[in-house]
This record gives sequence, structure tokens and C-alpha cells, in this order.
Amino acid sequence: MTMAAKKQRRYGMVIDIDRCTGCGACMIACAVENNVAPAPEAATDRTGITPMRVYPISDGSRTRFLPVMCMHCEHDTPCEHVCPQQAVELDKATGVVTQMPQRCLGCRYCMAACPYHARYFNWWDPEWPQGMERTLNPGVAPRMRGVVEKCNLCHGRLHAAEDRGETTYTPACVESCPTQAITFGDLNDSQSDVARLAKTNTSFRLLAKLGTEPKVYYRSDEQWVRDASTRSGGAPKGEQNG
Amino acid sequence: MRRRDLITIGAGGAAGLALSPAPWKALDDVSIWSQNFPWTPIPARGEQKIEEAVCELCASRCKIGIRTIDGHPVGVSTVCTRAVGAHQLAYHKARVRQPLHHGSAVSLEQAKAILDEAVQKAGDRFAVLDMAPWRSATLTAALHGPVAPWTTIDYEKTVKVISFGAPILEHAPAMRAWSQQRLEVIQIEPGRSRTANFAQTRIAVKPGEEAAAAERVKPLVTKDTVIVSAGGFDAETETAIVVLGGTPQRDDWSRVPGHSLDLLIIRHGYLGESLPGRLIESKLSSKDAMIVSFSPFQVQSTLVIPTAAFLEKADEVTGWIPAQPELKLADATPRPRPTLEGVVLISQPAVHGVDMPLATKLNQESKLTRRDGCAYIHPETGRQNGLTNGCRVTVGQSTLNAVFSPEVLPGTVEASVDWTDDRYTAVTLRRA
Repeated sequence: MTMAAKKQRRYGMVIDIDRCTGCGACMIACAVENNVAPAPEAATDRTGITPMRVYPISDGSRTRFLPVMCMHCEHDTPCEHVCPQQAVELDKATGVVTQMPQRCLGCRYCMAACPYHARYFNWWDPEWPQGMERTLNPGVAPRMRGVVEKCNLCHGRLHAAEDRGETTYTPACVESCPTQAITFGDLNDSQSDVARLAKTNTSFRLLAKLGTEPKVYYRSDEQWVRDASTRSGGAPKGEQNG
Repeated sequence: MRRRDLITIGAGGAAGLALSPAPWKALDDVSIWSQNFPWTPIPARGEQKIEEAVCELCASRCKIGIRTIDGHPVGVSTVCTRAVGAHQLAYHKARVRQPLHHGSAVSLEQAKAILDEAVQKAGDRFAVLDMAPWRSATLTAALHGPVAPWTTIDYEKTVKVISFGAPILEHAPAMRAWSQQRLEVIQIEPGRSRTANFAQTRIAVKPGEEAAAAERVKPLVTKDTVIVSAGGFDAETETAIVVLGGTPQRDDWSRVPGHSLDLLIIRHGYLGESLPGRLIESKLSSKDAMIVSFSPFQVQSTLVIPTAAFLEKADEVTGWIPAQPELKLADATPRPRPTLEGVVLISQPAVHGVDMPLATKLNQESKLTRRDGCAYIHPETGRQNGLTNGCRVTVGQSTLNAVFSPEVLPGTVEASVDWTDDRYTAVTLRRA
């Protein structure tokens, strides 16, 4: 693959909220793919790591689900700006906001800076039940305690694709979605489905008003769902769910 | 030494240390040490392969890809919440690793002796209940034929489903059809479940009034409509559903006379599904009646004998389950209705028990349909996956009797030969 081909890429995704049933397959697939250790029961942000998390939203009578992960902000990437270790980097070749645990010193500035709360801190040593280490994905190294984790658009799969000389690949969450609600691809490729869907009138981005140009888009035919995307605080009274 | 000398030496030392690489090197080493804990596991390296197999975690039997390192599964390629972590099920904390009698660990020999004695004592008053009839090596299918629970509906062809509380839209094939707007779901249930939330039509009913609701939706029923229920053992609800038609005929749990069983043997599914306790108890003759469960996970029973979990090699976790015995290949049985005389037990070494060319060949020879394919057991590895697309393996009556004789039953069970029948059906078997 030439460098020119690399530079043209800008990976992103469009999530169809009208198709998402909140089944959680993407969350499980993400954890399995990225060697996230099983969390204890009733895990919190301190005891469990969910690089992808599905949030329910409701208008009082209907419920829809919003899978939220790192938005891979394109402009003034907040986490990259605040990292004192340069452990976070917006890869200009792919558009992926990468996280390097080897550089991370665990200050958690990036967690405070992220407007989407999409980063998680490894407070504890990752522990797998006896024997389960054999099931770990060889394409991703387990992280140690004291570092921040987040979605990296399945960089293990990206590297494997690049090793094969390919520019297209499928992240685990996209592969596992039973309703095919997630479309993934190169936003720079005007012929791709993801670029086409991102430009429709029904597509939107979470907290777009911040101007960080996230590369994760959502779409819904329902106006109340699109309106919910602009909220930056808790849900209005009577609209909380789950 | 004067006070001034002390200050000079201290300041000079501090300045020298700061200018030397020592503190930075120390910081670097501490950083490296603290981030390379020897107890952080390193994923296995080795030859990677993608094996095709058939998922057995529900009755849909979807085709899945299993990524292996030196033959051990490290990932599952699928579109299903259940199956995506299937290769890690065997390591769940609820995994049973030793036979349990009244909750206390016993040896396999002791468990076999207890089971043998119970079979002898029960006479004809025992039943076998299979919670995962889609597995291979079916024995009781010979008696009753293929009976499909709601998860076996062919959602590629179904256009309309009236569901009485069945979690249709938590089921990958149905979700796929629904998302492509090929499937209309009418959901009838009291609560706002995930399926009710996304169904095109939702009819809220009070609990227990499903039969009345069934009358109300009769006008919606067309010849293409499939009607399903959440299953379970509620005889009244089941009857109401069957009357409306569309569902596969099923042998009702209610056929088993009440308080008639001294021994109930339950073959649980790979997820260790449990049954409503009160409905089980209503069939038991007394409080002393025995429930024997074969399950990978902890379940409430008098005696629990662990079986291999899905994608688990028998000796990997449990350690004591012997290798699969050799099974004999006999003539394939034409479908759709199996006969007691047809015998199809297949012994064919294959990776993870799946031998697709052989499956194809047998399917062609026996003219099996998609839902009635063939099944495989891996005689060498003992892995418990590996069904082809849809199969009922049947055995002759003599084999059936022999298998369920007191002399053979414990050994058969130990070898993980499965029974099958409808998920919600118990079949009373007579000893030879």
C-alpha cells in the first residue's frame, strides 16, 4: 500500500438508531475483540471497562438506543490536546484517534476533556478466570492497570488489513450487529455507503455544536431522536429511562 | 565541616543529579516495570485458522466462524449477542467442574452409582427432558420427530409473526429480517420488552389474559402468519396458541401425568437454561423424587453432572469426561418424519466435529431438508459443537432401549451423547 493511499483515508461510521434494538452485541464483541477482562457483577466505571456502551433514550412512550464510543474527533481533538505524554494521537493517515498505553502515565486529563465520556481508566489489574487466557485475541495486547482505554476502531484488525495490503476492514462491533445498524468505512470515499449516509438529512452527530467534528455519525427518521443529540446535560424530567 | 559546606554539597549533589540521566533513567525503568506486570497474560501465538461451524446456543443453528490458534478457539465471527463470546462460556464462574450431590462435590464414580441406583429404583416412573433439542445424537427424536420451538422458525420466509411474549427481536435471524423490513411483528405481552418496543404493533394485555388476546388477534391471522409464544410450561397458554394454528405441533408437557415421576433427568442447554420450579415439582411424585441435571453450569437439582460447554473440548475444563466413544454409521433416514427403525449415528473425525463435505453428501443421499440435516460428534476431541445445518439423528428402538437401560445409561450420559426432543417436552421412556 502506498503512503498516498493511506493518507486519503478517514475512517468513520454511521449508526442507524432506528435499527438499533439495544441488544448489546456490539459491546460484547468489543470486549471480546479487545481482550477486556470480564467485569464483576454490577460493575461501575471504576470496576468495568466498556469502550462501547449503549445508552437508552426515551420520549416517554418510545425507547431508542444510542451506542456511544470514542467519536474520533477530527478538529481540536480534546483528548489529544491535553495529553502530557503524547499518548493520544490523531492519525492523519486513517483519522483514527489512537491511544498508546505504553506512553500513558494515568493522569486522566483526557477523560476529563472528553465530551462524550468515552474513556475508561484501568483502576485494577485485568483478571481473567483460570484458563480463560487461552481465549484471548492474539491481535490485541492486554493493557495493564494505570492506563486509559478507549475505542480505537479495532486497530488490530486495521493493522492486519494493512499487512494484507487492504484498506478496508470491519471492526468487531460492525461485524456483530444483528440488524446491521452500523455502517463503517472511509468517509473520504464519496462512493462509500458510510459517506453517503453521513450526508443525508436525517444524519446527525452528538454534541456537534462543540465543533470537534466527530467521525461517528448517527441517523434516525424521528425528530425527537435527532433533537436528543444536542443535549449536553441529563435528560429532561420525565424523559429518563433505564 | 561548616554549615556552608553542607549546603554546598547538598546543592551541588542535587544539581548534579538533576543534570545526570540517573533520575530520568530511574523514572523510565519504574514506568517500564510498573506497566509490564508478569501476571498480565500474553495471548497465545500459533497457527491461526478460521473454522466453520454451526452455533448450538439456540435452535437457529446459524453458521459461525471460529477463529482458532493451534486448534483452540480465540474468537467467534457471528452476528449474535449470545454467540460472540461463546468460546469463553466454558470459563464462567458458574461452570461446574465436579459432580454435585445436594450441592456437595462428589466423585464421578459416586455420581454414577447414585444415578444408577435412582434409575433402578424408579422403574418406569422416570422421564428425560431435553432443553436443547437442536444438538446432535438425538435419541428421543426417534419417538416424536422434529418439533420446533419458536427460535427455529425460518425467518427468511416468514413475513408476519404474532408473538405472545416471545422475545423475537432478541433473536439474531429475526432481528435481521426485521431490520430489513421483511418481517412484521405483532407483540402481545404485558410489559414493554425490547421486542414490544420495536414491534410494528404492540398489544398490551394483563398477565394471564393471553388467551383472550388470542381471540382478539384472530382477524390478523393470515395463512402466512406464524404464531409463537414465549414457551414455558403454561398448559393453558400453550393450548390457546396451538388452537390458533401456525405453530409446529408439539408434545405438551401437560401430557406427563402429575405427580408421576420418581426421577427426572434433565439435559440442559449449553447456557444452562433453567426451568420453572413449580412446574417441575408438579410432575414429581414426592419431595424425595430425584432430579438429575446434566449441565455445564450450576443448576438446582439433586444431582448435577457437568457436561462440556459449547466449543469446549471435554477434557479442557472438566478433565474427567472421557473421550467420545466410537459411534456407528448407519443408514440415513428420509425426512420429514423419522421412524423408529432409521438409524443415523455418525462417527467422523473432523475439525471441531464438523465435516461439511460429508454433511452435504449425506444430505443429498438422504434428501434431507435444511431443517433436517445431519449431526456429528467428534469422536477424537470430544468437542460438543459441530452440527451441520439442522439435524435430527435417530436411532432404532433397540438402540434406544439399550441406551436407556440401567447398565448403559450412566455411561451414555457420561460420554455426552445427547437426547433430543422439543425444548418444552418431556418424554417418558420405558426401560428395556
